[in-house]
Amino acid sequence: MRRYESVIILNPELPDDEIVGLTDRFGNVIKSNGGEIIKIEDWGSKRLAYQVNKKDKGRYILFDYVGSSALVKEVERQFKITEDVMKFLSVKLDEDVNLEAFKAAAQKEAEAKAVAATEALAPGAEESTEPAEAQPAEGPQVAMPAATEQEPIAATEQGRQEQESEESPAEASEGQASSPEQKPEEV
Amino acid sequence: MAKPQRRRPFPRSKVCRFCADPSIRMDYKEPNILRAFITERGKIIPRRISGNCAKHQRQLTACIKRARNIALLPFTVPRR
Repeated sequence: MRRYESVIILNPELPDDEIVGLTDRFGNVIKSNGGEIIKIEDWGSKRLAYQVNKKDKGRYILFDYVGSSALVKEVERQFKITEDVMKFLSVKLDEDVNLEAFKAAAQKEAEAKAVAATEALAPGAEESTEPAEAQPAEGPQVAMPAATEQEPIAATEQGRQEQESEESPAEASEGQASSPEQKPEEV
Repeated sequence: MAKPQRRRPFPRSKVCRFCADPSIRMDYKEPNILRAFITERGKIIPRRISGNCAKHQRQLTACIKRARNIALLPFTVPRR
């Protein structure tokens, strides 16, 4: 069994109940073809980097599941014949997944959550730190973009500017030929 | 006759940012991280400028291309 992940972009003009309907339908396709769903995420309506089907926005849905290659084939076939799916991308995440181990881990997590819930009701034990431990996996990843986003842009931009200023006096013609789009003011 | 001038190496960041900070996870679903490694025209910034190590540049390239495929990153940014 392998672990896969499919991101699909749905028509953003669909009402919410239809989105849920489609999501359920694809979920059932996965289940009925011997797959196991790990999670389904709705990222909401996002701006596309380029137009797809003459639309600027798209509704992103992520399916994370375990199954065989035949399952992926079938799921992708379903995506293709559904007109409201504007784009899709399937990626293999893991080559060899033990489904039992996965289920056990999921169950443990659910149990921990249940314990945490009961602990929260009756306050004051060590177990209350467990949910905090379960989450950090996502914590740094989410927090990171804001912190690091600007640094590399500044660095590369500076690098390019210096590169340009070095090139332009001595080898203006060559610079122009090799990188015309980097110097819009000369064109 | 113009002598071929030795090109001075342009400044580059020497350390691979993904090696320096292992907490950064490269993922095609995180366009904000990837955006740091493409030009304003949407091209992938070469390793010699970004300073990435070969391994991470390879991973990065794959991630950027995937992100392009699901419209999280542009293939090109047209000049207006």
